[in-house]
Amino acid sequence: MKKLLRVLNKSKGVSAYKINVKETESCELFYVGKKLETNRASNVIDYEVTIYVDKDEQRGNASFTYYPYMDEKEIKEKIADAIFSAGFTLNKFYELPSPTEVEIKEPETNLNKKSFNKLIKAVEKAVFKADKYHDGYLSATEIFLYKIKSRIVNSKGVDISYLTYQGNIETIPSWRRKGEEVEVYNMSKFSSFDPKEIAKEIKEVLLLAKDRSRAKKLNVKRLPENVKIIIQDEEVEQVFRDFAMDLNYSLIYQKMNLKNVGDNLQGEDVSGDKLNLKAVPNYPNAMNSCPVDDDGVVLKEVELVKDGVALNTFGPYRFGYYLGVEKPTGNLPVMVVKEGKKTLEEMERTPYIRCIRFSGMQLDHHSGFIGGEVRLGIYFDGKKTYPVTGFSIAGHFDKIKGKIVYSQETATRPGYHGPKYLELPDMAIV
Amino acid sequence: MYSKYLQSRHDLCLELVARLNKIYPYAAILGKHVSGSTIRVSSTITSVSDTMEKQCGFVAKIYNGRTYSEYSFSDISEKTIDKLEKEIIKKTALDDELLNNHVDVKVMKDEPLKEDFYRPVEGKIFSKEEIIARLREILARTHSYSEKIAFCMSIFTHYETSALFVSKNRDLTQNYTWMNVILVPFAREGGNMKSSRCVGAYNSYEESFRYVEEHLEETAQTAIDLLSSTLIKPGVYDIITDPTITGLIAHEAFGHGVEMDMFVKNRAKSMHYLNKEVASPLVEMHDGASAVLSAASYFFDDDGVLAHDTLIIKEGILQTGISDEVSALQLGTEPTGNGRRESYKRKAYTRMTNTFFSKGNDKLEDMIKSIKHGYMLFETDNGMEDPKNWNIQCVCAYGKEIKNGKFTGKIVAPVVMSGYVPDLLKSISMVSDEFEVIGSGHCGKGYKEWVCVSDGGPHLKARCKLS
Repeated sequence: MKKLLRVLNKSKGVSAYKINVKETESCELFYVGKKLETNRASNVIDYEVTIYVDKDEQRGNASFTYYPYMDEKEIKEKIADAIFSAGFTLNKFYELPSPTEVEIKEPETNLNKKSFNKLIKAVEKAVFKADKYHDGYLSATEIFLYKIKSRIVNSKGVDISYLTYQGNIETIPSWRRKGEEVEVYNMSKFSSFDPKEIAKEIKEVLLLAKDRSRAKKLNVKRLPENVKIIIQDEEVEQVFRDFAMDLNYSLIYQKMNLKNVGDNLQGEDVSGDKLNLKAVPNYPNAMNSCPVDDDGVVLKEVELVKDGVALNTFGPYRFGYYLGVEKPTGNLPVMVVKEGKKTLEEMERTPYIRCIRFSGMQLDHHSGFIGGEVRLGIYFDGKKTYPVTGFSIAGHFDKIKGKIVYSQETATRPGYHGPKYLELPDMAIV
Repeated sequence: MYSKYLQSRHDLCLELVARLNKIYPYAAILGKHVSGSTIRVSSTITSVSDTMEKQCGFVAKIYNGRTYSEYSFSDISEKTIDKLEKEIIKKTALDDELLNNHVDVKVMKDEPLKEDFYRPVEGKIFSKEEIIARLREILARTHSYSEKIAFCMSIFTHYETSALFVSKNRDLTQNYTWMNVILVPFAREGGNMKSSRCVGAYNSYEESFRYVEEHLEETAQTAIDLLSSTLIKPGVYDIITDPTITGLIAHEAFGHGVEMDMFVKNRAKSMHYLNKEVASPLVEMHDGASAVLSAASYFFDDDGVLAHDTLIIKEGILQTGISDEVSALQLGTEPTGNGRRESYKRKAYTRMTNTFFSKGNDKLEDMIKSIKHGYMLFETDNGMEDPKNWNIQCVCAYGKEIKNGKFTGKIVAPVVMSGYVPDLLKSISMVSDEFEVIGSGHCGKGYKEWVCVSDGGPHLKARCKLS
């Protein structure tokens, strides 16, 4: 790094620069059933260098990867090539962020209390503790623990480092029934390790596999009128990300946003819950939490939407600068949405289909299409509940966004905290 | 040209393998150096960066007599080799509890082979200046096509892969290139905005650009036509696929299900259908890094196994799956050159390469004429596999309505195909005599482990649920 900085600082033609360094240590276990197939470890480092060239009140930029093996001659060649490239990419001028006084705290986590080799065994135990069913089992499990040291340096004096710890567990819970087997997919992501929570989640997903094994193809012709669709977890986050998209500097600068500050993002006629949304740097156990973004902007909470009305915009420093924002927010990693008043139990008093696993829900910001194939749902016909499969849902997001009901129950995901369930009206079921 | 860096580390890798072989029954090192650039020109911004696939580093794989262990590292030098050797031994060591609870897997065959492979760019190599000028020309022509084109992006991405694989008996190197030119115009009318996409993907600068330039007006017109698109009335329809959707079906519907690491984990329904009918007799399906020249064409995989052309389905009957070496060792089968890693930092899994249906004898116009009411589906958006339960979801960017054998002019978008894989494959009733493989895809395993792939084939006539 010293060598790189020395060459960069001496390079004529470089108007400014930014260096992003990511040093990752990992410990990984891969299981087939409950048996170990492979174990892995890594210790790798990545350097991304961006150089900026100013000409005629414009700024061009180009980036390259620096590898520690490079000698001064090779670094000079890379820089010369980047200067040449940047000359062809002259865009509107923008400043780089300046240093800000900030105290970077050690992350609040227990993943730094033991060695990864010891910790990963504790994770493994928590996972397999829940794998205790006669007909259900984990057909495959992968456990990853990461310690990531990030550093951002720029030519204006920014030099910030911070640590993050991450854990990922990918499991494939499966269930046997009448000679057939089914599976569901699950990925747990955490920044602090709670063995009870992990065991609880694994038990829940194993029971989902059991539900899928009992699931019958939904007879869409025999559904009662006004059966509501309930979505949960990942798909809920997807809905709120779509709301926030129009407020991102990058979309606004490229004139691709459909709504602006002052507009009601939910439309004029709001009969569902009103949207209240913030973008924040960190939230407990939201794995994407970080104090600064990749440009070195120290992140602070921003209130984006209040009662459905867009209050502020957010996004990358460069596009904020282009738009004339005095203090661009930077890329905030976590969205926080205010929960609703209705509990899941209240949502589920009338006929519903709760979509538990999609193949992949589609939500197209510009066409407004929302829908996808549901691999596992729970259907309540007004009398009994049944696990169901083999159907799809489809709707027009613009027509329903003012009618969505948010749950009182909340969930925390890597980049989200907010309602765990949403009640979607007016969806076609096929 | 083969990476000078990997060349400079070649003997050190051999030395490290020799040291590890004194302790372990098997040791191998894969070194990978992927370089290249991505140049984006849009209506508002131009940028140049390294290719998304960029990487440079090594992974050591060892067999301790019971299981396989790996250690990924960024560099090796004369100064660090002693420390690195100790680090590999320490970081991959397993305590008795883990070591005694392992799958039954044998040592790699490690058959002797020493060879260097090379596939250079075809034709002229363009300078960055020439690339940017050509991308800007594409952008200007697309904007001038219609005032309705509100925003446009043209992207060039090129990557050059060098890899070395050394073990006690194998000493392999390879170097190959690939590139894509992508055009994405956005048409806008008030608050209504729609986009389309065109990709030229070849091992040639000129061909990649020419493909997009020749399809530029058609692509801009598609974005404009999509402004008047509606959502489809959900139901079961006769369909005709364009080669991208054919490829999506080959890849998502069936390809993931024959990745044999899924057999090992009891995660693939297809393992119970070997030598059984899974598709219409008109269907033949292949996968392989040497099956065609496209984005996933290499000479040896990340296990050091030479590239194959695997016949997966013949006349509707499932013949075999594809596999990486560790899975093949567990199953007692031969590896098929499909062991691939997202990068040297990640594990190798069984992954698809170039996956496609073979062409048939039907004419596209006859296929269209045969449809009473249905849709021709275009342009892959995304898809999701379900190898154990054979559900399918393929998202197509748009569909054109056909009634009584003619296009009605009505466009629906997006279109989600769903259903049960064998139902879809058995419903294939016509296969066109045209054939195209599109080499610009990226594929994940579950929701991670992204690698470059290609897929495609002819036009297919089938029947399935659309929403």
